[in-house]
Amino acid sequence: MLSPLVFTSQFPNLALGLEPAQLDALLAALETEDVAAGETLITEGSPSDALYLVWDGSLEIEVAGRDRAVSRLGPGEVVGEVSLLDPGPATATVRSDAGCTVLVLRRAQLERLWAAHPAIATRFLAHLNRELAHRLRRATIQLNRLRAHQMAPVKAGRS
Amino acid sequence: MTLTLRDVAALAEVPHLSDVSLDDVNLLAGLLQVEELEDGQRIIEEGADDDDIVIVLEGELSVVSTFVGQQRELNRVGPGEMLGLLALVDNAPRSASCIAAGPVRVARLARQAYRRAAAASPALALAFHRALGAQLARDLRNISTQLAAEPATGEPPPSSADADVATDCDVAVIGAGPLGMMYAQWLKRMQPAARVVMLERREVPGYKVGESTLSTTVRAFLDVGFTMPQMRRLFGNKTGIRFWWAGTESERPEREVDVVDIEETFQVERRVFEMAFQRLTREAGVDLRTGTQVELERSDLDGAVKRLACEGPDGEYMLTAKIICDATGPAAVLPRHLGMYRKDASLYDTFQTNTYFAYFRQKKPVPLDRWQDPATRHLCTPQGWVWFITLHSWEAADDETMAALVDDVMDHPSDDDADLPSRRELAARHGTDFSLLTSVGITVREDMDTAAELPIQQRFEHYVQRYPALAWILEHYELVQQPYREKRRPYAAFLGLVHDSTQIAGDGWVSIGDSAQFTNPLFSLGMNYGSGTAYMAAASTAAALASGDTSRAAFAAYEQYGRDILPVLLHETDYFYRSWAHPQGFEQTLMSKFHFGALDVTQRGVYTETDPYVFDLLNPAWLDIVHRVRDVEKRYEAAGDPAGMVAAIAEITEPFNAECRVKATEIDLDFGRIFTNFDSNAQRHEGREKPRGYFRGYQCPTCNLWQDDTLGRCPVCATENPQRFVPSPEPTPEGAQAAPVVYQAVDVPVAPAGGTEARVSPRGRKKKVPDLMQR
Repeated sequence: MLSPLVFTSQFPNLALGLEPAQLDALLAALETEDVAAGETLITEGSPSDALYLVWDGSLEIEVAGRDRAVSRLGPGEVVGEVSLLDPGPATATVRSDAGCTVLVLRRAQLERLWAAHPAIATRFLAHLNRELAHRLRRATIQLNRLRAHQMAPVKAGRS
Repeated sequence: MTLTLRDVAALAEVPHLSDVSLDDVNLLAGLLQVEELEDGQRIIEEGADDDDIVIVLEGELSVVSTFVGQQRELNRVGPGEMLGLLALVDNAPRSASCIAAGPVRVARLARQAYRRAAAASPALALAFHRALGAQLARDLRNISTQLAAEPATGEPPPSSADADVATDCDVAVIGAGPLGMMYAQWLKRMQPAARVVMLERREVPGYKVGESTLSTTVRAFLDVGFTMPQMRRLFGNKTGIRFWWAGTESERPEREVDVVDIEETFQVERRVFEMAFQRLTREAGVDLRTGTQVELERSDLDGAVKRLACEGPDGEYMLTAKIICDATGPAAVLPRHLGMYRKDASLYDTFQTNTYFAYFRQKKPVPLDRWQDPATRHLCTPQGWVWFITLHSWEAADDETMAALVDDVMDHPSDDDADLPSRRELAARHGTDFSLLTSVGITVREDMDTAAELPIQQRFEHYVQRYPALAWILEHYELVQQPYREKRRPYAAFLGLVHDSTQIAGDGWVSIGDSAQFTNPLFSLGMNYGSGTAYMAAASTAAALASGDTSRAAFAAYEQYGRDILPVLLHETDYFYRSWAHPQGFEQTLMSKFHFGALDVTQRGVYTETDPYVFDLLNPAWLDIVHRVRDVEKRYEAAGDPAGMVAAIAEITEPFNAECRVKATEIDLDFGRIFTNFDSNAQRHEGREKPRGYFRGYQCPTCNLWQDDTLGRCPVCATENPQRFVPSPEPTPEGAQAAPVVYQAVDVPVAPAGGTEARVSPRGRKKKVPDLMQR
């Protein structure tokens, strides 16, 4: 069983505001998993139905066609929320280069949580939604930039 | 419009909403507002600060976003999909516009209504969060798929800057609004060798809500290179500020209180103003880069030296800077990026406000004494207030024409009106013209906003119906359906105006003006206060560059000022707003403020153009009055006893006003010259013959516009002034012949730490502290 105090310090946005009993219910729904070096958690294009919370170490996110990792997640960050909330093929590959420890929340556990404890689920979702909103804004800017870049006449100094 | 059966069927298509109970469906249905849109009509405007959720019932909307001047479609949404979710989650301005593609039927849910529903039903709240999450996830999946489909070669190289563009500077300013430009110019003056780069997202300044300026602001404009004749060509004259009160029972505006004829000020249209200001900023040696986007996500802000990812006409490059200044206005790009942005008025023990505004054209004069004067008019009500600002608008001129006209005006940096062509002549030369446009904005306390659950487009009308005096005024105006020639909806809103940031400076960065913090609005204090932050931040920046220490400690004086001034601004507006429960309360708080303010304003000579203290707002004597009155107001507001409030306020303000009047006689201040309805002893005296103020406008017999009555000819139409006033060499108020401003390279003002005595004005001169302040 995870320590509520340590969990709170690692994931304050998820934990703060919950009653001790609610926090216990949330922690009970999470599984701890050790990921070996080089292991892949989510494969781009395949279905995925779990949320991963990075506890220790780091995860690399890769997208087909890009030769380097798109981003790296460290302790306190989460991944997998898109497929968790909108079931479908994963939009990126998530793997660990050097191995790490994650907390896993599977879809079935989440469904159980929001049936039994709607307040926890709402709070949890509000946090995921903020994350999603943040990523959506970033992705929109990125897409705009790529497209503007292709359309705009190339100025001197550009290859 | 109410929900039809087909609408309900469309709602059931929204993922997770179909799961909720019938009671919850009814609760929700009662809060939704159905609207029909025509092809091409916009429902969400990129950059706007509103936050309704929109659910598509029928038809399709196109989601478009503008980037480097190009508009792109990001997505199409249809029935059962929701729009505008991002603003609900993170409070940021709208990231994209939504335009109807063919006829569309939508349901709107106001944020306030959503909150109420969520509080009433936890199940509905959960369903909404699930629906929201599913929609966000779907949107993100969609964008990610599009991103993946972009050829990888489209990924721009790390740097592709033009060979001649500098990628290294001392200070990078993000955002070229008025305050950013003031900061940049003042910094260049304090540290002429500093390399200052400004990065502005827009290629050409665009539409923004106009600015009504006060004396301090106009002095700041003069200081950065504008001249009076130039401003008279481009902007409308303003003679002061007028206030009326109206309750829900008032047929006409009541109890006029004003302060006028102190100094010549202007109502400023932002596009025109910023075009002119950008030119002055470039002339001051600032490297201003328009059409340049800064992407903080790809920037490196952690090191001692900052690296900003920039993209614009000069290519794509990393700009290295020792200090970053965020001047992005309410977008507050850097504070939000750093997670420091807060939108919580309760932190300051006050309320939030919402503003609903629109543009009008006058059909016929309003038969109310002095209404037609070009003062900023305020109609105060128990819930808030309404502004009426008449702009001399150049909206008919396209950007190119306007830029040419502005250049023509700015080619004449003269203080003599005779050196400039008249405005009509300039307009004819460039084949355009100006017209009068009146901005009307209803600002209400959020805790009293009786329209919060209506769609934005209906909220303005709600208040017009609620206040007969407002409806009566607006009978003389007509609504502009598409202001600024864009497919813009007639009514717009700013919701929850108060925000701040846990830090307004950090290691190697500062944030100024509206980016740092914002107060509940009233009579244009914002630009005054903002120019203060720009000045204080520039002084701290100059000192930091000189010493080489760019850590947060270098901005301590600026941070102190910011921390001191925000609660004061908030509590002063609070002091006013709460008094409007009663017409006498309205008069009491205004008159007390003007008693105190006039002691300061009319001695403007001792002020600097960059006075950061905003009418001596931090003066302990004044703060004492504000806080005592506010306590009384809160108490009587809770008890629902406006009459009791009036009596209790009088006990506090009357002795204070009397003391101010004694002080006024010592400095030869004649209240009779600045108040229309109050005599020299500041006693109400309607219909009296008001003596000439320190400044006065006359109404030109040809063009009917108001101008400074000391001018020989009208700056607009060149008609001779038939009643020209030739000032006698009358002794000006004490201290008026102040020495010209001399800036020293490093001149850090000492922020007041509880007392006024330690205060040094930005000019480096000890500020005169009147006796009154020693209590």
